[in-house]
Amino acid sequence: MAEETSQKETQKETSVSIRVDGQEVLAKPGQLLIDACSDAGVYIPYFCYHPRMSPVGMCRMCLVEVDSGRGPALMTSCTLPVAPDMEVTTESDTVKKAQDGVLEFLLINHPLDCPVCDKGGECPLQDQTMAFGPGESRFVENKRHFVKPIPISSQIFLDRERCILCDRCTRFADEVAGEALISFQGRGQYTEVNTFPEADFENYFSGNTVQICPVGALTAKPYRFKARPWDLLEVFSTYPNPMGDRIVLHASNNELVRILGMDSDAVNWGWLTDKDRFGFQAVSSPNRIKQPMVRKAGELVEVSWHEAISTAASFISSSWDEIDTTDIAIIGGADLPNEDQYAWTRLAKGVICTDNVDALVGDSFPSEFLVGIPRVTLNQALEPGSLVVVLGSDIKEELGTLYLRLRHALINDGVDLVELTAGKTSLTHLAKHSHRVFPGEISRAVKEILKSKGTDEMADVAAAISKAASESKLTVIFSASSLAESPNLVAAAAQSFSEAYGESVRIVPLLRKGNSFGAVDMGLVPGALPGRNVMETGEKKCLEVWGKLKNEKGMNAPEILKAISRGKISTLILLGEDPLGSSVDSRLIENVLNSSNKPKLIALDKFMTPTLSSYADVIFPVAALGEREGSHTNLEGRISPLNKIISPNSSVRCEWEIAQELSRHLGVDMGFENLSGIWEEIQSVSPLHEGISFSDIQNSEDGIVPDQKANQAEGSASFIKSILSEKDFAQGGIAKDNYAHRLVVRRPMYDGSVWQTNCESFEPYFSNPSVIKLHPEELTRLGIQKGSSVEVSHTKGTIKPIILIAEEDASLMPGVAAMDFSSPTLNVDSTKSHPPDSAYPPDSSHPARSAMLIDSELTVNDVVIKNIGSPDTFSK
Amino acid sequence: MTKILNPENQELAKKLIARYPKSRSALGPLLHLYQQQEGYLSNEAIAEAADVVGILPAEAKGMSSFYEMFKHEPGGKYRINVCQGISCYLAGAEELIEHCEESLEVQVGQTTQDGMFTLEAVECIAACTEAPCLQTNYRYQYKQTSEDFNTLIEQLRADVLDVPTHGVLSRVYQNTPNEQSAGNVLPTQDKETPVWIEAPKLLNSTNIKSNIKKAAKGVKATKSDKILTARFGNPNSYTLQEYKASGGYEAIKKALSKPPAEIHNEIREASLLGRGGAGFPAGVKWGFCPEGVWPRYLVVNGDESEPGTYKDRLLLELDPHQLIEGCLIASYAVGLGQCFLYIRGEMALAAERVTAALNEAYDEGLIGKNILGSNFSVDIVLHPGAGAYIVGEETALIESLEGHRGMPRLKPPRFPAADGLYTQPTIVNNVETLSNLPEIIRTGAQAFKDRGAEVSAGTRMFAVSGNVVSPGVFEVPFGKTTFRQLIYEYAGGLKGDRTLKAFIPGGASSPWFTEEHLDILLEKATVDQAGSMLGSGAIIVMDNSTDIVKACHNLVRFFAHESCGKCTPCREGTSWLEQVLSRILNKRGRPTDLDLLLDISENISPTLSWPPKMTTICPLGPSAVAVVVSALKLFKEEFEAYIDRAPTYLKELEIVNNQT
Repeated sequence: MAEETSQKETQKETSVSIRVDGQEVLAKPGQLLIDACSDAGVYIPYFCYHPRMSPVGMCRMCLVEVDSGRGPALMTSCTLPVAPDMEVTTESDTVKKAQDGVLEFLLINHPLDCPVCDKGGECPLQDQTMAFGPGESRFVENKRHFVKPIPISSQIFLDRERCILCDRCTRFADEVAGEALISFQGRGQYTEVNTFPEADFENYFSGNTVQICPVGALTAKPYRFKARPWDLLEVFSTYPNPMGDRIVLHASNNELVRILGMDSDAVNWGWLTDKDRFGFQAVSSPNRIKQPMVRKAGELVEVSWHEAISTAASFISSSWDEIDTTDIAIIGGADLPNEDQYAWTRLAKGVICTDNVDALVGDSFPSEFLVGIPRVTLNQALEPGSLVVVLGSDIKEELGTLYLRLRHALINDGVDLVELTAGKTSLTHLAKHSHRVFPGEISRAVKEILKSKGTDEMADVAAAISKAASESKLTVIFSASSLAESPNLVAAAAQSFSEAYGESVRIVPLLRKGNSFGAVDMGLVPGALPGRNVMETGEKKCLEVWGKLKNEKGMNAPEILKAISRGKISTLILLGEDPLGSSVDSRLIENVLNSSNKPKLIALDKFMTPTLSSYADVIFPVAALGEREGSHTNLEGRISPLNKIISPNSSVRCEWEIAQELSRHLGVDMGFENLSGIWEEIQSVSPLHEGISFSDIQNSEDGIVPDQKANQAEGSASFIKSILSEKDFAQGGIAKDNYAHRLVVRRPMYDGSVWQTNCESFEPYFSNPSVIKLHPEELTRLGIQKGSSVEVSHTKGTIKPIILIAEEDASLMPGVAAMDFSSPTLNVDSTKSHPPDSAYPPDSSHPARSAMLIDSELTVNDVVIKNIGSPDTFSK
Repeated sequence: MTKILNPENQELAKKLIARYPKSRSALGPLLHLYQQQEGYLSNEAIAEAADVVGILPAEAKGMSSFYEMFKHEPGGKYRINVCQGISCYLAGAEELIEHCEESLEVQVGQTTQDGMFTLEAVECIAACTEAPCLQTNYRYQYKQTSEDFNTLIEQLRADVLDVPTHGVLSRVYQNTPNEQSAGNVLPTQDKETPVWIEAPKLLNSTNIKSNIKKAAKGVKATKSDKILTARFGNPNSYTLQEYKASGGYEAIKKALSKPPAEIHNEIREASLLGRGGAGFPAGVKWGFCPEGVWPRYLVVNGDESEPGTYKDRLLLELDPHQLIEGCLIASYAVGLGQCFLYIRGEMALAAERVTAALNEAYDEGLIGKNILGSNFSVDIVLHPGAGAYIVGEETALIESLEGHRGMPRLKPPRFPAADGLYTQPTIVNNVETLSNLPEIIRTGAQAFKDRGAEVSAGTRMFAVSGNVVSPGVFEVPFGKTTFRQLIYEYAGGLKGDRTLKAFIPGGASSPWFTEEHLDILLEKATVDQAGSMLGSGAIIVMDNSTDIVKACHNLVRFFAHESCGKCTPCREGTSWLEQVLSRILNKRGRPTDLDLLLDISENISPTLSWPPKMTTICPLGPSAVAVVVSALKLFKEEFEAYIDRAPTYLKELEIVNNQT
C-alpha cells in the first residue's frame, strides 16, 4: 500500500497536472495538449496534426479554450505544450462554434465527389462532417477549380480540389523524407500543393503521403478504384524486410490490394518504403507458379504434389551418400518465415546432413560473426545523444525505414553521425564527420582512425567515438557496400570497434534480404544452428532432438556457386534464389548449367524465372505474403507475426510443408504438423527462444524481442571478437594499378529482384544494368564522353571483357568505377549465346551484368576501362 | 557558378549570399537578380537559384509563387501597377484604371500588342496621401489623372523617363568592403559592461487607464516639434553630408561612450512605443531576449503595406541615415550581432537611397567592423521584400527573411525575442520606431517624453488620406493631438460641403470611427478604449459621397488577396466574405447575406469583440472582420439597399430555401 502511494506520488512529481473539462488529467511534461487529452480519453478533432511530425496548427480544427490564468482563449491544442494548472474546455459553445466554423470553411471549396473518391468511407473530413457538420451548405458561390487529378509521380495522383492544405504531405516530404519535392505554391485561397515542373515527386517514401492525407487528395496508382474501404478485409502483419516493418494488409475479393504502415513505436513509426508499400502487386502477378512441375524430356510439365516430392526426394537420395553429402547444397531462404527456415535447417543439417546451406546470398559475412553479434533494439541503437558510425553503404538504399529513423534521430534527438563510406550518401549533409574511404580500405582505415591522436579531423573522430563508447552510446552500423568486395573487410572494420571498446558498442549489421536475421537465428547459414548458435554451442541440444547432425562447417553461397561451376554439386536446392540473378560468377555457373555437369535443380519459388524455365528439374510453387501465417525476425532480433488474409488461387504450399514431405520421403519424418508444433521444437533446441510460443508471437503488439543475455547459450557472444583474423585486416588496402579503376557494385533500393520485377508499377525504377559510372573528372581524364561505350576488362584477365555505357556520377571518388546491381530477370533470354571471343555487347540482356566482372575469390576487383567509341556504336 | 546569370550578376550573387548567415536567406534577393536580368523568372532560373542556395526547385517555386513581384511569365517592358487600395479608391482609382484599360486597349493583367506595357491592378503601394497613384516598374507616379497617364505613356514610349526595365529595383548595389565587414558577430559577455542588467518591467496598466482623455483640445505642432521629419524639407536630406550637418551620428558616438545597458535603460526610460501597429514599448521588448543566448539579430520592419499607411517609406527615402543610426544604437544597446533592413520590395527608390546611405556609412567607418574606432561591430544588410502584405507581421517577416514563404509562425511558442531569425533571439522593430533612437540618445529620455503626452512619448507621424482637401503625412506631438485637428486643421478638412461619413483611425485593420470620435486624442490607450486602434498611424477619411458597400468590399478584397493561406479560417473565410460582398455589389445579394457575413465573421473572430479574439494564427483574418463589422454596424441600410435592388426571384428563392 505504501509502495502504491509513493508510486502515485512519483508519477505526480514527474507529470503536469491540468484540468480538462473539469477533470484532473496528469500529462507528461512537454506533452502537447491534444495528446494529453487523447491519453485521458478526451477526443479533439484534427486534420493537420500528425504525431510523427512537427505541429503546424494550420487547419485550426483542434481549437479548444485554454485558461492559463488570464481567462479562457481559443488555442490550437496540437501546438500547445501542457503547463501546470491549465484549465482546458473542449466542449463549450465557443469551442463548438469555432470547430463548426472551421469545418464549414474546409467544406466550402471541397468538391462533392465522395461517391467516386477512393477515400470515401475512411476519410477524416467525411467522418467529421457526418458527425458534426452542417446539414446543408451556405456557400452559394462558385467552388475553386483545379485540373482534376494530376500525376505527381509514377505512383501518385494529386487532386488539388480535394486538398485541404493541411501540410501533411509537404511536411512529410521535407521533414521526414528530407526531399521537398512537393511544396505549397501560390498564396491565400489559390494555394496549392504541387511539384516543380518536370521534377516529379519521385522519392522512395512518397506512398506515405497517401496514407497520411486526411482527404482523398493523394491517391496511389496501385490502389486507385480497386476497392471501397467497407469491403476491405484487414489484418495486422509484418513486411518481410530486415526492419520487420509493421503493416496492415488489406484485401478485397481474395486479392491483396493495399498495404498500410502501422505506427509501431519500436519499429517503423507507420512509415514504409514505396518498394514495400506497393510490393503487394507481386502477389497477384501472372508469373506466379501455380502447380508443381517436373522436367520430362527437356520440358517442364505440371505434375501432382506427390510426384514432384518423390522426384525431388529421389534426386536428393541419389546423391545422398551417408558418408559424404557435400555434393548437396541449398542456397536461398532469406525470404522464408522463421518456421520454414527452421524446417529447412533441420532438413538440411539433421536429415540430409549437409551444412552447405546459405540463405544470405549477397551478404556473405562469416556466419559465426553474424551469430555472435549481440542484437540491439532500434530504440537502443538510436538513443538520444548517441554517436552512430556508418560503415559501408547508403542506408537509404539498403533499408528505407531505418534511414527515416536514423534521419529523425540525427535531426531531433541529438544523435551524431560519423560516416566512413566510399561515396557521399543521403545522410552526408547531416553527418558530423563524413569521411571518404577508398573501396577495399575500410578495415585498415578504421583501425587507423581508432588509433589516431592529435588535432586533425581523424583525431576528432576518434575522440568522439571513444567518448561515446565510454558513455555506452556508440552504435556501429555496417553493411556490404559493394558486391565486388569481400564482405570480410567491412566486417573486420566493425569488429575493430568491438575489440577496442568491448561489449558497450552496439553493432548493427545490415543484411539486405527479407528475413535474413531469421535465417541467422534459425541456423540457415553454414556453421550455425538454431538459437543464434554455432556448431559447438548448439550441437548438444540439436542432437538430442534431431537424432543426427552434420557437425562440420559447410560452404557459403559464393563457395557453393564456385563448386557448382566446377561440377562438384550434384543436387542444388534453391529456396527462392536465382543463381544467375545473384552476384557472383554467374557466367561460370551459366556455363555449367549448359553442360553435362549440370546439377539436379530443385526450386521452391513463387515466380517463374528464365533460370527456372531453362534449368529447373523440379519446381514447387510456394505461398506469398498474405497467403500464409508465420513469424519474422528483424535486425533487432524482434520476432513479429506474419498473418494470412487471402487464400492462394492455386496449389501452393509453404516451404516447411515441403520440407516435411521431403523428410518423410527420405525416411526421417520430422513430424511437423503445424506452426505451433514447429515452435515447440524451436523452443526445445534453442534456449534463445525458450518461453516464446507461436501464439505469444501472434498476440504480441510490437513483436517479441527474445532476451538474449538470459537465454543464449554460453560463449556465443564472444565470437565477435575472434572470428576475423589479422589476415582479414591485412587484406584491406590492396593497391590499385594506376591504369585501373576499383569496381564498386552498389545495391540500389530498386535492384530488379524477382519480386520487384513482378510489381507492375516499379518498372520505371530499375537502373540500366549496362551502365558504369565514373567521377566526371575521370571521364575527362580518359577522354570518354558521357553516354559512350567503353570496354571494361578485369585486371585479372581471365574474365572476358564486357562493353558498357559510361556515365558520370560526382558522388564517387576518383579511381572508382561504379555499377548498380540490377538484375531484372524477367523477359530475358539468358540462354542467348554470345560469339565466343568477342566482348559482351551492351544491349545484351544478361541478368546480372555487374556480376560478370566480379571474381569472388578476390578481396577487391579492379577493372580497366577503354574508350571504344561514340554513344551510337551499339544502337540499332 | 550559374549558367543563366551574366558574369557581372554572378559576382553580385556571390556577394548577396555572403551577406547572410544562412544562404537560403539570399533566395529572395537572388530571384530579384534573375528577374532584373531576365525581366521575369523562368523555371530554369528558379531551379538554378534553388541550386545556388542549396534547396530543391519545388521549395524555391513555393517561395517565389508566394510573392506578388515575382513574375513567372514574361510581360511588357513596363509593368504599370495601378493602385486599387482604399485611399486610391476614394480618390478615383477605379476610374483611373478604366481609363488605363481604354487607352492601352488591354484588360488588367494583359500586355499591349507592342510588348511595351503590362497593366496590373495592385493593392496599396504606400503612397496613400498621393492618391490615386501608380507605379511604372516600381517607380511612383503620384496623383494621377487621365491626362497624366496619357502623358506618362507618351513619355515612356519616347523613352525620355528615367525608368529602368522590369525587374530592376535598386540601381545602387550594397558594397561592403571585405575589411570593413563585421560579419555575423556577437558581443563579448564582458562582466564589466553587461549588455543589460534589469529584468523587463511591463507598463502599469492602471496608469494607462487613468490617463484617458476624451474630447480634449489638442495642440498644433510647430516646426521645432519635429524630430523624424525635421530634415524632410532639405533637398539632399538623404545624404550623409546633410545628415551629419544636422548633428547626425553624434548620438551613436555618445552611446558608444557608455555601457550598452545604460543605453538600453535610456530607451526604456523614454517609453518609446513601437510605431508599427501594436504599440508595444520598444525598450521593454528588447529586454525579452533570454540572457546569455547569442547571436541575436535586429530585423527592421520596413514592409509598410497596410492600406492608408505612408510614413516608413518617407523615412527610408528622405532620411535613411537617421534609421541607420537608430539601428546602430539598438544593436549596441542589446548586443545584436547583425542587422537586416527588410524593405518592401515595391519601394525601389527607398532601396536605392538606403543602399547609397549604407555604402556611404560603410565608407566612413560608421557601420561594420570597429565602428568609429570602438570595439563595437555590426553589419547592416538591406533585404528587399517581394510583395506580400502579410510579411509585415513580424514572424512572417522572419520567415521571409529566411527565404521561405512569408507565412506567420505560431506564437506561442515561437516569440521572436527568444526564437526568431535562425531560431536565435531577434528584435523586430519598425522603421519609425528606430528612427526615433538618435533623438532620444541626443537629448535624453526625459526631453523625448516631454515632447508627447504622459504615456505617449515623443512625436508620431500620421498619414491622413482619403476624402480630405490636403492629404499628407504629419509629424505631431504624440498624444496631444485630436483626430479633428489632424483631419480639419492639418489635412484641410473635407472638400466643399461634404460631410464626414466615417474615418479609419489606424490603418485598414482598425474598426471605423465616425463624427462622434473626432475629439479623441491620438493616443494608444484612448483609441483602444474607444474600440479601435491607432495602429500604423494611418487615417483614412470617407465623406458622404462614399459608397460604403464598395469601400467595405475594397478593404475585404485586400485582406482576402493578402491572406497567406496558412490557416483555414483566414484562407477560406476572407475569400468567402469577399465573394458575398462582391455578389451584393453585383445586385445578386440575398436578405440572409448580412447575417451570413456576420456569422462568417464570427467564425474568424469569435464574438466579434474588440480587441479581436481569433480562430486564426495571426490578426489578418480578424482585420477583414473588423471592416465588415464596422460597415454593417454603422451603415447596414446601404447593404440593404443593394440587396433590395437584387432581382426579386432571388429573394423568393431564399424564402423557399428557408421553408424547406
